[in-house]
Order: sequence, then structure tokens, then C-alpha cells
Amino acid sequence: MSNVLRTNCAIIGDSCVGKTSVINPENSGKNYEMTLGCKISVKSVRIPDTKYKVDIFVHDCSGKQLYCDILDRLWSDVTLIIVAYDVTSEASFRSVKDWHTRCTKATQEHPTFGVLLACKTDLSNRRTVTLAQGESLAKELGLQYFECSARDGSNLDASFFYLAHEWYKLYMEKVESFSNAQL
Amino acid sequence: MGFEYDVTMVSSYDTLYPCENITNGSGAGFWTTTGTYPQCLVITLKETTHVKSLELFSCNVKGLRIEGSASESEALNFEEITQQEIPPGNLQKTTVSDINGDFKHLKFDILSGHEHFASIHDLTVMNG
Repeated sequence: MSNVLRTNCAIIGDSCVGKTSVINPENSGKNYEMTLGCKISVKSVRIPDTKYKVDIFVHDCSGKQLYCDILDRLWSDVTLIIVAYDVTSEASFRSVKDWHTRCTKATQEHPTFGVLLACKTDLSNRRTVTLAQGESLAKELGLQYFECSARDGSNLDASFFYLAHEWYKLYMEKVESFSNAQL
Repeated sequence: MGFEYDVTMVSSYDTLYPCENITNGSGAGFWTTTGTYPQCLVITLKETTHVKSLELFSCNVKGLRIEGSASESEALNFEEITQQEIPPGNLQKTTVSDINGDFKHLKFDILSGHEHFASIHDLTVMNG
């Protein structure tokens, strides 16, 4: 039997950058379906060589302005963040900071782990945001940088693996501190 | 002296830190939540008993609600006994007195925590 750790993760960013496709790559390339409000799904990640499994409850948040108020309330329980942008759209890259600030404000009680995710890397000839730009922004915001493409399926799970491992490490640290707790 | 009880329901379980640790009274082991809130724990006393007070040792628990039920068979119809906010501390000691009710089941809801994970180390239910 494996022990299950659980965590809430919000995936945010401008609309049409491909957030839903990262979670459901089998649907990518088909018709665009706008996410209404927020959709929740579960990603299970097994931690190798341990008895632990991390269930990440992924909150796929709509990028439309319309849902701002609803999302702010949802984010209060979120502990992990994925901020996504489209490498062919500078506008989506510019709004990363905004999304990140709004989300961390809503979750300010607890420090969180986060990922900056560059999507649609298969469109290399239309790419306008470079790897270096992405990496330097990630560093500035304290996020881990990943690139992926839902179309050719490359690197899609890397960000979830990273987050699951960080969560597992945090759990181990806390459990250690509990066993030393004294009045 | 505390009453004997069994832990009958937990919302998260790690085999290394099982909920049975709460009942042993030695304070050596503990039960830990494995992420996200709220979390819940139900204990069942051997029989419906007049409960006066209880004592709880925990880590990182913030919002705590305690509910009781006198239902004989299934744990149903819980009524709130108390809801409180526990200040942060290395090991938190919470004493709830003046409960004065007859209960078979007691439910502990951890509504929020001071950190991402919380633990319960020891729980004693008393009639004094």
C-alpha cells in the first residue's frame, strides 16, 4: 500500500497559452474550448524508491478577466503554482508577473513552490520569447523554469514531477520536526 | 485517568505515522496529516459516556472544531462542542473543559493549519 500525500496546485496565465492542454494533452490540437471558471483534475505522481505517492489537485483556472473575483477566492487553499505563457506571444509573457503577484497575494499565509512554464515550444519559427528571457524571469520570481509542448508531448510531466518532489521533501522535513516537538 | 477509545476514521493516513499513535498515551508517536485542509479524525468510545473534559497535544493545528455524537451504532448527528483557534507553538497543548455531555463518538476537524502539515500526538478524554 502506498501513502498518499495531497496538495492543491493552480495553473494560471493568460487565456489561450495552453494551460488546459498541459493537463490534458490528448485533447490538444483539436478545437479550442475555453475553460469556464476553473476545472479541477488530479495528477498522481509516484516518488521513486519510496512508498509515497503525491496526488496533485490541479486547478485549471480560466485566463479570462471575467473570472478574476472567483479565482482570488479559490487560490486561498492553493500551495503550488504553475504560471504558464506562450513562447510565441510576448503579451502572455509580460502578464506572467501580474498573474504571479495576484496568486501569491491570495495565498500569502503560506510560502508556495512554483513553476514558470513556457508552452508551445514546437512552434520554434514563430517563437519570440527566448529561453534566456524565460529563465531570468523565473529567477526573479523565485520559480523553477520548464519548457513544454503539448503538441509533440515533450516535457509535459516534468513540472508536475518537480512539484511533487518538492512537496514530498517538505513533508519529510515537517514530519521530522513533529517527532522532535516538545512542550 | 482517560477513557479507552478507538480511532474509527481519519482523512489521511501514513503507515509510518498511524492514527493508533494517538491512543497510546506515551506521546512517542503521532498521527500526521498528509497535505491540504480540512482534515478530520473520529474516535469512538467503548460505550456512551459522560465526558467532562479532554486534552489534546498537537503541532501546527490552527482552526479546530470538536463535535460529539451520542448515536449508538453509526457515527451520525454530530453536534458542535467547541470551535477555537490554537496559537502557534512547538507542541500545542489544548484543554477543553466543561463539556459535560454524553457521547459515544467525538469528531475533530482540523480546519486550517499554521503550516502545510499538522500532527496530533496525544488525546485524552476524561470525566474529571
